[in-house]
Amino acid sequence: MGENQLYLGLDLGPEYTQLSYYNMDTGEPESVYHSEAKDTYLLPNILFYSHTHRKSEESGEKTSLFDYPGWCSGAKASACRFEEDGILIDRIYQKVLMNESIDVEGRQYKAKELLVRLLVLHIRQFTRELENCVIKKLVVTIADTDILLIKAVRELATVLRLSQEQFDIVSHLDSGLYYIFNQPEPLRNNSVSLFDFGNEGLDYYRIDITRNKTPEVINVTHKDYRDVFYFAKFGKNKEEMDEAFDEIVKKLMSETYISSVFLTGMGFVENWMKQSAATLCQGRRVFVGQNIYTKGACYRAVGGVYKAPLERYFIDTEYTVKSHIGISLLDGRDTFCPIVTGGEEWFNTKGRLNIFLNETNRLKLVYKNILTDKTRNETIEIHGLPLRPPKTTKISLEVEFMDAEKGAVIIRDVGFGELFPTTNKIYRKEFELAGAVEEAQR
Amino acid sequence: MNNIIVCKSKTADNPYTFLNTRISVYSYEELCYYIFNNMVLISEDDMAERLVTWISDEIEMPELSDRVDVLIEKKAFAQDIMVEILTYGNYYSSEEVKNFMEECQKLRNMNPQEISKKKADGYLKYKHYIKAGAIYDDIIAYKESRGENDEFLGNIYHNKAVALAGNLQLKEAKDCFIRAFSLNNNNESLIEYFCVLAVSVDTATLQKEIKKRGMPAGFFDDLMMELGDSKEDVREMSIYNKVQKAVFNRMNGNLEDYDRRMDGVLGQLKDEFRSQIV
Repeated sequence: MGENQLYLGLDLGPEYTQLSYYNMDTGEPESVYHSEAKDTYLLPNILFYSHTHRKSEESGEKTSLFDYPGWCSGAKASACRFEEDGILIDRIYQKVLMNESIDVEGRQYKAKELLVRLLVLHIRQFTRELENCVIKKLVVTIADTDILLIKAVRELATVLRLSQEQFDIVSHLDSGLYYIFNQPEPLRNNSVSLFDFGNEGLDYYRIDITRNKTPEVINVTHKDYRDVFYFAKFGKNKEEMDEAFDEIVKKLMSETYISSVFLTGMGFVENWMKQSAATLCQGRRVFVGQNIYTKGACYRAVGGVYKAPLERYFIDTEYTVKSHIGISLLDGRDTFCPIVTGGEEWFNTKGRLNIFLNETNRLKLVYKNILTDKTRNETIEIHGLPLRPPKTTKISLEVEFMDAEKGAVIIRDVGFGELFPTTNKIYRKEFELAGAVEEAQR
Repeated sequence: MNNIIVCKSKTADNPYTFLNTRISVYSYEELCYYIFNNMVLISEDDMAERLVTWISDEIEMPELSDRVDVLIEKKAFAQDIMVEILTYGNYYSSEEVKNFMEECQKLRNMNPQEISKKKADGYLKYKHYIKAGAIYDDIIAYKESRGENDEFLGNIYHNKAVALAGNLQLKEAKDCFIRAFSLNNNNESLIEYFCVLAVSVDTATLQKEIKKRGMPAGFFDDLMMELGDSKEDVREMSIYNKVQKAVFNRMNGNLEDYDRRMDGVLGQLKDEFRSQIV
C-alpha cells in the first residue's frame, strides 16, 4: 500500500497549538481536531504524566519513536487529570523562554525537551488515526521569534527525523502572508490589513505591494497597540472596546486604500464588533479566522503553486534580513563573495564560507542592501594567527543574527590539515545593518 | 595576485597519506600544497590508483579523478600527473604552475648528489631526521671519497647537524656544525655550533670557546638572548607542560602520577622517533 504523504502546518502559540494538514482531495489545508475535543482546533499546550506508567519508565524499557508511555497532551491531558493519578504540566512555552527546568515526579526536564515532547504528541495524536503516513514536510510558525524558542523547536526536526528540506520555522507574519497571498487576487488589488488580537493585546500589520519596480516588494509595516488595546483594559465592557477599536480602525484605514482586512486572534472570537465592523466593511472585504497562521504554514509546506504568488516579490518585514553579507576578494575588481544571502527571516539566514588568506591578514566585509543596492564596507585585521606560508591560512566565515538588523561575523582559524594545524582561535565582529543603510544614504 | 582564495573543495573524512613522509592531506588544496612544495619527495607510488580513488571518493572531484586515471593508464611521468592536479583548480595560478614546471626541469638537470640533498632537506623539514641523516651520510661518503671538500659538502654537514640536533645527538651535531663551517665558511654554521654548545656545556667552557674562536664582543650576550627566546618557545610546547606537571606532582609526593605522566611523554617521544623510520 502506498504511503500517505503529509504536509503539515503547526502554529505554536503560548497557550495553544494549532495543527493543519493538506487535504489532497480538496486541495486545501484543513485544521486538525483531536477526538477528545472535536468542537475546537485549539490544542492546549499542556502535558499530563500518569503515575501508572512511572514504573515502566524507571525500568528503562525501550520505547519506539513518538512513544512516550504515560504521557499525553492537549485535550486528552486535560481529561486525564480528572481520571488518572498523575501530574499536569503547563506553561511549558513560557518556561522555554526563561530557559527553565521543570520537575516531573522528581526528575528534572529542560522545558525545551518537554516542548518538543508536547508537539510530537500533538502530531502523533493526529497521525495515529491515519494509515501508513509519512511527514513529507512540516512548517512550524511562531509568534515569538525568540532564539531560545527557535532552538527548542529545531529539536523537533531531529526527533521526527526530518531533513533540513523537510522542516522550516517561520514567523506568524510569514505564514500570514502565505495565507493571504493564496486567497483570490482581487483581495490584494491595493493594500491589505491584518489585525492580530491575542492575549498580549492588539497588533496591526499593513501589507503594501509595490509592483512594476525591480525588485517588486511586499512591504509589511507593524504597529503595536498592545499598550493601549488589550483585554484587561476593557474587561466586560464590550461597547467601550468596540469604540476604542473603531477609533484605531478609522485612523488606520484613512492612511491608504485597503482592499481587504483579516482579523485573527482570540480577541475576535466573540461578537463584540458593531461600530468597528461597520467602519471596516466600508468598501472592503473583511475576514475573521483563528487558523490563518497554521493554514499559511501548511501552504508553505506544500510549496509549488502555493509559493508562486509570493515568489516574484521581495518580502520586507521586520524579520527580513535586507542585506547580502560577504567579503571582497581583493582582486582588483572588488569581486563580492557572499557568506549569507539576504531576503529570508533572520533566524533562517545561514551561510558559511571557507577562504585562504594569501599574504594578507585583512578582510573586507561587505554589506549590500538588496532594496537600495547601496554597499557598505568594513575592513578588519585578524591578529594573533601564526605566521604561515602563503595560502595556508584557512579561515571559515559564518554569520549569526540576533535579529534582522544585528548580528556578528564569526571567523575561525580552520588550519591546513596536518601541515599547519588549527590554533582553534575564534574571532567575532559585530555589525548593525541599519547603520549600513543610513551610512549609504548620507 | 589574489589575496583571498575561496575554498570550494570538500574536506575528506579519510586523508591521503604520502608514503615517504607519512604526511596526510585532507583536501584538494592541501594536496596541491604538498605537491608544489615537495615534488622531490613524491614517488611514482604516490601518483597511483589509490590517489585516483581518493580524489573521486573522498574529495568528490570525479572529473579530476578521471584525468589522473587516464594519465596513470598511459604510464605518464609523475611530474605530468602533478601538473594536471595543480592546474585543475585555482589554488595555484598559471604563473605559479609554470614556475613549478621550471623547477621540475631544473631538478632533471641536477646531479644525483644535488637531487639527494633536496630529498634529504625535504625529510628534514618534516622532522624525519633519521632518513635525512642517512641520505646526508651517503652524500658525504661519496664526496669525501673523491676529495670534493667544497661549500656544497659544508652545507650537507650543516643540515646533517640539524638532523642530529633534532634527535638530541648533541655531541655529533656540534662536530658536524664545526666541520660545516670549515668547509662553507658560513657564519650561520658557526652560530648554530655555539647554540648547541650552549645547551651542553657550562658557561665558563662556553665563554672560553667563544674567545678561542675569536667571536666579536657581545656575542655571548646575543647568544644568551637567542637561547632565552628559544626557551620561551619550548615553554609553549605541550610536551614541556606535561613534563612540568609531572615534576610538580613528584615534588608533592605523588610518584604514581609522575610515573604515569612521564610514561606518556616517553611514549610520545618514542612514537615520534619510530615514525621517522617507517
